[in-house]
Amino acid sequence: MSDTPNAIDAITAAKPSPGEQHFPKFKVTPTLVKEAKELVAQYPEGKEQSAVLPIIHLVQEKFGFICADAMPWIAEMCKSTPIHVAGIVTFYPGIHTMCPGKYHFRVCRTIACSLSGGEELIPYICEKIGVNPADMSDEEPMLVSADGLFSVEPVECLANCGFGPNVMVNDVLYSQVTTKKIDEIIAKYQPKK
Amino acid sequence: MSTPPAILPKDAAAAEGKVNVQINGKWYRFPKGTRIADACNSVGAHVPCFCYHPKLSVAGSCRMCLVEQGMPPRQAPGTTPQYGDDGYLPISWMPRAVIACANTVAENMGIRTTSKLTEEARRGVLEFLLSNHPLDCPICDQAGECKLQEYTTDYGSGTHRFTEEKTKKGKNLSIGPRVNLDQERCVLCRRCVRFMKEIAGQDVLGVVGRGTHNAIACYPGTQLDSNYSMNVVDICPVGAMTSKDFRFKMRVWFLKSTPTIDVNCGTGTNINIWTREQQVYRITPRQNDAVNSCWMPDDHRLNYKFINAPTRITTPLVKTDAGAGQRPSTWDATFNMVVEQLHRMAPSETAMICSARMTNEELYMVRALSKQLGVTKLDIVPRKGENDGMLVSEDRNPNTNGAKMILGKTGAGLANIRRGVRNNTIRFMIVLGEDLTAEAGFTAEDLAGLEYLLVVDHSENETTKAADVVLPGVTFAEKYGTMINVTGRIQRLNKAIEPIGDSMSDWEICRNLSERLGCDCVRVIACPTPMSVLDEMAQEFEPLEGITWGSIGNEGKVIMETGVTIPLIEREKAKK
Repeated sequence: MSDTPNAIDAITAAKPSPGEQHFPKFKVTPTLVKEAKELVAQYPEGKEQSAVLPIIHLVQEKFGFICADAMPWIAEMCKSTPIHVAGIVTFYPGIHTMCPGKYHFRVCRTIACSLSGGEELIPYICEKIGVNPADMSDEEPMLVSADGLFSVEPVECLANCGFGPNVMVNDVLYSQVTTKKIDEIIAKYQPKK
Repeated sequence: MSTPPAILPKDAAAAEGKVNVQINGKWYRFPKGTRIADACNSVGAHVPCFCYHPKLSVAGSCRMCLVEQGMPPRQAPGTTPQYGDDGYLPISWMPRAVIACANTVAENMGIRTTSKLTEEARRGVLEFLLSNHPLDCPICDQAGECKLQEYTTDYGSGTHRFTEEKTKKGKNLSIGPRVNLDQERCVLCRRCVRFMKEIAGQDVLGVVGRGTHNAIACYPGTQLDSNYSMNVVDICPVGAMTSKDFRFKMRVWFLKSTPTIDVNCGTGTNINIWTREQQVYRITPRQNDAVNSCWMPDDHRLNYKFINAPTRITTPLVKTDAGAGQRPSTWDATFNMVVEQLHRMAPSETAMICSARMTNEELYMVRALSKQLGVTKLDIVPRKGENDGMLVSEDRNPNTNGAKMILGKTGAGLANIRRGVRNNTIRFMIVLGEDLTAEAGFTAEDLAGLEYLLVVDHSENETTKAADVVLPGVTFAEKYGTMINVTGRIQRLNKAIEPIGDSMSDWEICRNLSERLGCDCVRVIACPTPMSVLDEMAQEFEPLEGITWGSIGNEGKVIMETGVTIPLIEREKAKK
């Protein structure tokens, strides 16, 4: 038998990431349950399943990614089943199954941004944070720096095509990004030595 | 100038609650709300479907059922509709095809299932579906009954232009105790997902990933282990879901299917038995909307191994000397021996136990035999279980209603017989189709204490081992006959294979015994087939009045009111 998990076990296989040191480990607390229940209450009775996405966002915001333990809990909260939560988690590229860095770069690689210079940004960021762009794969396009502080991921369109290249760092969108601007952003988040 | 008929077809159809639809140039009438796919199929204009299943919700995801559709153009304000000679409005054909499963028919609609547009659409869909398909038909179990294979032959292009590497997905995944999954063969119709959610109520299957990586899966740690899991193998249009029991056993084109019924419970699920020569390979459900819809429980489906098992009794077995073992004998010698013995037995000291797993014809002949012998202590073994709220009835005997009709009251005499055996007032017993040590409450000592035990059964068990004479009967796969299910529906069993070895149908054994015992009732001894036994019964029993083998048909016929319903069927009716 090979060590690679089969297609089913791969759904929840752990993907260790240095980013995990900057996020708390997933844990069900009374506060988390309360917040999830509030989200579920937004939807009519019998439609609890609609709250799956909002709860996924809640978990991702707090813990950085959706780990294997979180999926059955989310399913339980919205009267769904783990496989349907897994279906949603694996469908959206914006939902992570591997922990990103504390500062997560989403670099647009669609045509408008690429033409305006975005193509060079991914290798540049990779070099700056010390990861190899060749390690990016279809299955897991995210790369995390060894200190877990930074991560980079190509995305499709940040809906700001007129002002490319666009890069999103966590929730902040940067437009007309140049390599110089990348330097500034990284310097801003880099802890002072 | 055209002259439309006085009564327009649209008004004539509307009066019946129907609409007129033109399919491939011919006009038909369908009830409002009929799906285009159902309408086309009902008039022989075949529409290929992967994801559409009449018993499941509509997904509309496979796109295989694309057809060309047209409607009369919308009337400009102030103009009057110009009906043609035939009373219909001219149809404007739409430039793009529509899916036939998710759309319903409308008045004056036109459908083309054989046009160039439809053909192109089908070819295109198939090319996409095959772009990631492994094309492993030579080693695939579904080959021969695979919709993808059939449609590709019928509508596909024969060659493909896809030169990129195919997406790799999971193969030979065990997703449950009875089902295997091959994600690469899957066309993502999601029939299995919908079946498990909507019918089986065990929502364990889902789709993970996106785009070309889409795959059916169950969540790690969960299993497709419902008692209805194997139905997903039946409804899977391709070889993605395969039965662990049937995998690699036999190519389906070598198999003969025989429509018959399941005998594991009182529901009498309609099934097909798939056989090659004398071997049974699998059982699949057969659609009957009044009994089992399109489904059947796994444990009933897999309960066929005993038919070809080495435990089958293939010749009459007799104990010649007390204390000696049983040895095989011939029918003629055994019959003579048994008749001689039966003549010696006092009817008051004799009891007969037969089975509600026997057909009406067999029970009729059992009754005839009991009359011939003058035995009054005659009963069946009741068998109760839990109703699973789906298809499995709490009555685990398939023909309790038949036994009641033919033998009168049943079940109450069993305890008396048991008592009689224990206090030695019953010294002789004739047992048909039941293992008394299993559910009838007899012990091995009870049987050993009998002076004479005659057993008719198809397989070895504790009772046959204790018997002085064993006459080999047949299993449900080897006989014709009728049974009456819990809802009072009479249904037919058909012979899928010939009786194994020297075994003989129970009705025939009883008839021959009665005849040799001197029975002169022509209605008993002159019956050449189970069908003629049914004809005889039809004259005697009120519920069977007018019933013949032919009139029952493959769907069965309700002949009595029982007030019992089948939960799954009731749910299906309520949905409509």
